[in-house]
Amino acid sequence: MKNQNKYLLFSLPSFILIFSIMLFPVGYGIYYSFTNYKLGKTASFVGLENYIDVLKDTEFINALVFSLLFTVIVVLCQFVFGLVIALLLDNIHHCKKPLSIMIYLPYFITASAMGVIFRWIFMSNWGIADQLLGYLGIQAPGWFDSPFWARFVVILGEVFQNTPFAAIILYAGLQSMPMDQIEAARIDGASNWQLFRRVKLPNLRQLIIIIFMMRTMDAFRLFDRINVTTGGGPGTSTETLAIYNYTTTFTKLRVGRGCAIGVVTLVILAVLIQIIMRIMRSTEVD
Amino acid sequence: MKRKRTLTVTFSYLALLLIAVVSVFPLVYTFMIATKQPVEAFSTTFQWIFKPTFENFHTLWIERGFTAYLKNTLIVTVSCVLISVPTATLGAYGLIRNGSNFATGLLNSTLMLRMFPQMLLAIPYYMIATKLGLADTKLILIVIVVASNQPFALWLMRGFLVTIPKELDEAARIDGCNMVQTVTKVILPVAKPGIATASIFTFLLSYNEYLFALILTQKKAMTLPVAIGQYGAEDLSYWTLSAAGVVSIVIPICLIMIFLQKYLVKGMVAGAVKG
Repeated sequence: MKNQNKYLLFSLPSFILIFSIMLFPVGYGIYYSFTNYKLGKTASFVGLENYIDVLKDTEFINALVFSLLFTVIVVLCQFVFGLVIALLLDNIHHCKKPLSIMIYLPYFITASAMGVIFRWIFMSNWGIADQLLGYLGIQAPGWFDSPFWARFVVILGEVFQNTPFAAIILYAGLQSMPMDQIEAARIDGASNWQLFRRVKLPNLRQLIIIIFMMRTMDAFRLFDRINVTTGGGPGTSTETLAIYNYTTTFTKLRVGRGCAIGVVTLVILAVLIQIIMRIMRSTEVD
Repeated sequence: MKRKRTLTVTFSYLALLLIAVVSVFPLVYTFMIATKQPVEAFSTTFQWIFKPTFENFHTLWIERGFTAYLKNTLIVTVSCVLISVPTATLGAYGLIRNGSNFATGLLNSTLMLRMFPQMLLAIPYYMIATKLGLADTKLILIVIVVASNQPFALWLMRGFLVTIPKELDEAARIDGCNMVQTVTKVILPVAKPGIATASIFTFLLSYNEYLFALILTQKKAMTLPVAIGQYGAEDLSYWTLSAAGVVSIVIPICLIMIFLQKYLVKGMVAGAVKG
């Protein structure tokens, strides 16, 4: 009892790390979002000008809309596919290890490497996607020339790479399901679907919330794979907020603006997370 | 009823097999490209049968000097693990044992730090690094990677340490350990699987780091993920080399997956289930 606060000494290095090399630089960045700092010039305070300019910029609005759409689509897909995979794995008894290694692998692959792979797969004429579609007699579209198909490839890449995250966690949840509830339901004559809906899903609630939150946070901030696969193109059709920020800061060298975009991204993401938490809470049934 | 069950199980096996094949197919395809002669790789119909060659790997690593990128990546990754995991372990331990509302709230909110857009961290680092002359060094990259991974490492270790009962601490105290000895002699050995998992995870996250490396390094300190992203970006003739690069980067990850998969899965679950 007397040592309770001494325990915090153990946490001191961690605190120091987080404050000095994470929160302090972010504070520095927030400060600069209120200036018109451009690389190589001196900065002067401009108040909210950066923010107003950003919010009025059509490129920002396009990036925001795409980021939101992208996030909603991929998170839903990852959850549904992950759940399907978890349920399938729960059904079988042999070969689990080799199958799950193969299925989980994409999640741990370097995102930029996966981006390179996807660019090569969907490359017109030589990519395997065109060849495989050719075997089926389908004429492949110019994947990276059309905004629609470029977005499709980018969404596919994200769903492909991060569905295993949902699968792993949901499968663990299914494995640690309380057997007494399941048995009680079976004795009461529940069908498989009722069993799933009324017993399994509620028990998975906590995990589902975490999956939605983490995948949303990651999808909304996505940079690596898209930057490598399409660079935000064609034009700006696959530009996420992070890529928009990157080009503003490092191509156009408007660092102050870049900081402002970062803050705006954070605020929007925080609101998004709040909305998700509200929706999740309102589905609470007992 | 039994027949329906067998049907479901058979269907599950087939479906999972299909999903598994689709999951590894991109890597297999890339490996095939990487082991082809450029001439064969560029034929308009895909050759499924061919004579493999490793000359692309030789070109990439020996002639094009990819070993330098590997060296950079390993130095950054190992440093990050050595700094991040011990601090996160002690950090989580201290907060859990303190048990105050403040401490518990702090632990629960580490996941929220994941909301921070990387750019909001990367830009100030870029400014500070340029001012201090640290741009394009491994040091600044290590610092930012440690910073951005610390919240997640804390969250992971919290998931593991929270299962260690207080009674263990008390037993150690009764046996005469002071606070530090309790940690070193009792807690750490028990937490070894958790520490191993956090280390592997931190290793993978630092290894895969792209955005910060892209912004903060140009030539001297460039890491593999950035090198791969840029290699063959424009020029189609680099295709086989680029594929060889991807395969090379991915080999350690595959090895870790095959032999240490248990730890990775446990790590993801521990944080999530205890949350």
